[in-house]
Amino acid sequence: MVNVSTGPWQHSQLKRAKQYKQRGSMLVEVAVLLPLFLFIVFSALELARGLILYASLNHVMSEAARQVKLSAASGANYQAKLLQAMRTNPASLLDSSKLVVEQAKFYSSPETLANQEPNNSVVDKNGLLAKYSISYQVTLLSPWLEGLFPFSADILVKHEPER
Amino acid sequence: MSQANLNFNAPSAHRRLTQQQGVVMVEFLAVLPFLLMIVLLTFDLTSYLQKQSKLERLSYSLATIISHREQYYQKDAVSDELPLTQKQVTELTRIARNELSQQDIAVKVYEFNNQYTAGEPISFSNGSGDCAWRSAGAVAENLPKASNGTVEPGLFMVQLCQDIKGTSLFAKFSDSSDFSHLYARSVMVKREKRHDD
Repeated sequence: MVNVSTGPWQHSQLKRAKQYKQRGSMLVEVAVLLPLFLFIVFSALELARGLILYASLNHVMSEAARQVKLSAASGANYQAKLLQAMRTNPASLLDSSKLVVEQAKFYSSPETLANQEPNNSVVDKNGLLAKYSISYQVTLLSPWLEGLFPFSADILVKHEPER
Repeated sequence: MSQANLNFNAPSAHRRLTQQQGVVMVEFLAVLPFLLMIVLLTFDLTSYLQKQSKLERLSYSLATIISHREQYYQKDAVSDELPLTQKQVTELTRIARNELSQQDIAVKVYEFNNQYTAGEPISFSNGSGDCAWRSAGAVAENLPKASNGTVEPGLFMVQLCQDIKGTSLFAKFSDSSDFSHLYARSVMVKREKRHDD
């Protein structure tokens, strides 16, 4: 008789306990996997953002280098000119305040360039080969992607002789 | 007796619930290799795009240098003509290797001078023999020609080839030569040395 009255009650209690247990295990699994899943999703978004910025950096740098090499002037500050040309490019997707010209090296001939012997002391840089290194100081949400994207680029141009 | 009743009233629900524990984990582990593969291939593709972009920019720079060679190699001139030489191409290759910080770079330079009419032009190369250089004859068909059939003005074509077998996962796993090398090329008009220089 006792068994008949308490059976269903015990059964429902047990079922509820199992449901709680199940819910708990799901929670633990989701808690373990969600960070990993979010990491992959956000990394993919960051990767896409990185690719766009990298492509824009290359484009802006090439355009600026072309502009500067055609407007060569004796003893001019090419780095400032290059930076100015990059900052004023309307097609740029970059934050212009984060662009930095890291290095400018000048070479008098392909031979000195092949031997890595720059000569930056030459005042008149018309007709010289120039290598510019540009970097973009970007902060990514996934710092590990910074190894994949150096966000820097080099370009080699020949300054046109002044006419 | 009550224990027997309980077992009878809750037949396999308990077993099912117990068996379902860890299902999410198992499913995730099954999907993880595919996820990782996608991530690795994405890295590979990113690296591929970066290398291709660098190679194309470099080929343009090298074509600029070789097109202005009269400014640099005047001492090699033979009776007012400055021929393309192996030394010039070797120097370009050294520049390319320095710029890309990689030794597996090959360079081939074609010269379409005012004697060229058809077929393969004068060319010099330096570097890997694995590269499948694109024929310059096909390029020549579309070049502007003077009335006597020669290419006017003179042109240089620089082809670059980069071996990526050692650095690309995709190139490593696919046997196709299409994925084992990157190619870039640029065509540049020959620049005459100005007489007032």
